[in-house]
Amino acid sequence: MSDKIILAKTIPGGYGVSARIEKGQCLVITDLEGAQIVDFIAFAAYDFTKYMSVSHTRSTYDKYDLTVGDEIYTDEHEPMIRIIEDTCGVHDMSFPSCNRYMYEKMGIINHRSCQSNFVESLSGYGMEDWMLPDPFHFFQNSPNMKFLQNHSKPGDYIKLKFLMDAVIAVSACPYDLNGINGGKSTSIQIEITEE
Amino acid sequence: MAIEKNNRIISEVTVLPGQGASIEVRTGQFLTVVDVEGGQIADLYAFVASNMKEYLSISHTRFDIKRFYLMEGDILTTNFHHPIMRLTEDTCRIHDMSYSACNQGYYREKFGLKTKTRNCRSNIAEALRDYDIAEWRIKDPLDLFQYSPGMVSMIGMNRPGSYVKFEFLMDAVVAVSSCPEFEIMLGIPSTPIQLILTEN
Repeated sequence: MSDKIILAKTIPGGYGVSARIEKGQCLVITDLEGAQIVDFIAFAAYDFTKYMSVSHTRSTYDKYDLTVGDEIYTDEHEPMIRIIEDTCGVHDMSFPSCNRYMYEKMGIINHRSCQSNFVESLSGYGMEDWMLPDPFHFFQNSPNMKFLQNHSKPGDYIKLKFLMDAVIAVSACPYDLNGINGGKSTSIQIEITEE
Repeated sequence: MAIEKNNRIISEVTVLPGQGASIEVRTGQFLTVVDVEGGQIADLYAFVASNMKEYLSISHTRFDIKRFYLMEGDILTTNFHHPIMRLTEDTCRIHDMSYSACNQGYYREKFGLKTKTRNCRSNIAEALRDYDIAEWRIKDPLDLFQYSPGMVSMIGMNRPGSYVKFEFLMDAVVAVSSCPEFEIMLGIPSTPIQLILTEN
């Protein structure tokens, strides 16, 4: 309850940010206006060959939906993050990040994407698009690879405790077509906290 | 049969039980992956020959086909959403697009196995050692012949000689691992996978 806030940032819809987080600290990601997908990736601090992997996490639990207490694994199958709180409960572990190729296929050039947000926010680390792992899509409601209306209400959040030092990146998904993200990308907040 | 009479066989590679192997495939050629003895999972990876930063991506393919399973005629895509291969024949029809490849950490964390074992990820890395592909770049496999609907794994569904045949839409380097998991965890011996490269 009386967590110390190390960092708090509001990210406008369609944009991304990266941050350094230490073992034992928590990351709280809040959907400020509701129905907004947040793409999330994480790497072991300063070793980008070790990354959060949704597929390894699926393989660990033999399931596609995580709950409070579950841990998220790296591509080397080490526990990296524990879900501490989750007020929404509906997330996606199946989709890739939206990317320019996806938009170009629909005839849309120069659309922002979660992938370009990640490349931008991690450019200081030399990140290129082909290196990016598949993300967690917080607040995305897409059972059986079908987009449905997102469940998240304004203020819904997920709180993640880090089990290793990491570099994280989040993107307030810019996908504003076909009613996804409620038809427009809106702002999110991240907080890094310490007990 | 896997190979029609008018198809010319260019080469064959046997993936040894519990091990990996690679093969180069050109645009327009066909690769048939045969489960010789049945009940054997084969993890398949493909990298674009001209730029190996581009690879067959299972998550991008799921997005493009909007399903968790493959049907004949489906086009599989890369991490850049480019078509890399088309599934032209499938006598098994049950494959997995959800699980990661087994690796050392998988056996340690999930089953508490302390000893070092063979695993699909290092099999693929070994099979690709001439191409300088580090292990972190070996992401999610197409788990051929793996029966795990709803992420419930079961064994031995596919019959001896079951095969899938892909037409390649780009020049590619393909690596396949004969998965050792059932041997390691259940004592069921791994069996070979045959790769047959043909053209019309």
